[in-house]
Amino acid sequence: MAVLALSKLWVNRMDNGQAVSAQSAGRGRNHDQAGEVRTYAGGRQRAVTIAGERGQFTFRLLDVTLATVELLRTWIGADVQVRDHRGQRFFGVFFGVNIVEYKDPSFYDVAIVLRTVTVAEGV
Amino acid sequence: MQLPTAPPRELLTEAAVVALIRDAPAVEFAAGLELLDTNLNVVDDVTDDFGGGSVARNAYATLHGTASLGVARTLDWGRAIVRPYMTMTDGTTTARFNLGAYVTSTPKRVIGEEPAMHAVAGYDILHSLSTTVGEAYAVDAGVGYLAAVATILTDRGLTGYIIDQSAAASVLPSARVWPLDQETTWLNIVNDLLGAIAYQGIWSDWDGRARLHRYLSPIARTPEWYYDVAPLTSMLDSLRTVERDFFDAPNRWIAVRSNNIDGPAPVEGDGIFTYVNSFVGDTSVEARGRIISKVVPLEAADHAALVAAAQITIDADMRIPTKLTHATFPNPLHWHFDRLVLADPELGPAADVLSTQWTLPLNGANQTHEWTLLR
Repeated sequence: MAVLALSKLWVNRMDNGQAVSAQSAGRGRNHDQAGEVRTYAGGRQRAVTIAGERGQFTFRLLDVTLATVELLRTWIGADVQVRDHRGQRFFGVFFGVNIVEYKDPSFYDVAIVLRTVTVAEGV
Repeated sequence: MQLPTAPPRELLTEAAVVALIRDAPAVEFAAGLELLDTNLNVVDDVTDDFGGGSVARNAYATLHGTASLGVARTLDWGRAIVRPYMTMTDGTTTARFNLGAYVTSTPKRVIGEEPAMHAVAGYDILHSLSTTVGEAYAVDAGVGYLAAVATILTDRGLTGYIIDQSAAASVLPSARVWPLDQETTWLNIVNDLLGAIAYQGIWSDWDGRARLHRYLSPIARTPEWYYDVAPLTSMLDSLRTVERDFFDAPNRWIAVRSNNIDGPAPVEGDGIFTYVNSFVGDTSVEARGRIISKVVPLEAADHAALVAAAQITIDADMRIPTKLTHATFPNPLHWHFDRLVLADPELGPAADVLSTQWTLPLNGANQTHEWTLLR
């Protein structure tokens, strides 16, 4: 079986395969599910959960050019795939890019929060 | 109510389904939506484009079932039939509950959202009966009541129905004619025919099939669910509303024979019967401090029949129903005129109640109910 070792974090658009890659930092993810514990008559405490785990992968792309920043802006709301050097892969959408200027005027850091979506993976 | 082990739960035991709804300390909910053809066969599962909503039922409404759904797919609006369903799991038992078939209306489309989510109102599948007939309609003498109803259902495109055949031998003794007018609907005709053989009004079930059954007094029916406030089984919300509205209840009745047009003018004791509730209960003249009159025109063969018929109205008016409005943990088994028992110390001893209205959100939020105390 072929093993793909990535040295950077890659973001690919799912509709056309277009790619952006960069060194990354500040990676992390969290998962949650909508739910609550309700009180019923007599004091009973009962948990209700809504099906559907929500996932979020946060990362910061380092030292990317203005052209890449502008390209990522056009990807807001588009289906993307994100892979990192740990072998993690996420499918999702981001709704914003947080652009921070770097000390070198040619480069920027871009922070993205990816909201994962459910996809059917081909086999 | 739906039977706990009715399909698609036929592989579960009744105890497992009841335990899932009533006893499980933690439950996860999900919802789905099926697209059906007119014979109630599943054409497609559109759950991937389903944004949730709610299902409601009012047993006293002309059309009992309604649904409010979000669908991110363009369907054949106005004729597409959909069936929402809910699944519940506690990690051990998973059960699915079909929640009726609904004809979709033309939706509201939210522009600016991608993909567009359609806010769709769904109407009880019996909607096809709820249209004006548009001509005089007659059923001949000698035709079976149930056969006449079945003919109407089939002609109106309702092929999925279950008929209690215990009155199959009952035939119309004379022809029955419904005149041409705006108010006469197929639903009226069906219910007139059913009423003549002591059947309850037609209703549609959780799968979308029309149901025709003999009427049985609610109090004579076996309770279908037991609600209490015990620490491990309580499903009632901690906030409950009780209402016994007697503000407009009469305490003086004047019954008048209305079918003696050619006879002498009615007088008290011959064509007019007046009854005053002076002291009985909280609607009496003494309790209310004033007289509240009600005139009751009645068709009666003679004065004795007038008094007897008036007494039925008087009894009903004096028996003001107690209504309970509250929420419970979602119980998707609820359906049509459910017979329940409520053991709530705040309301006194365990009481027999009849469910007349409910709304079930499909996202696991509490189900709201209106119940009527039977005794």
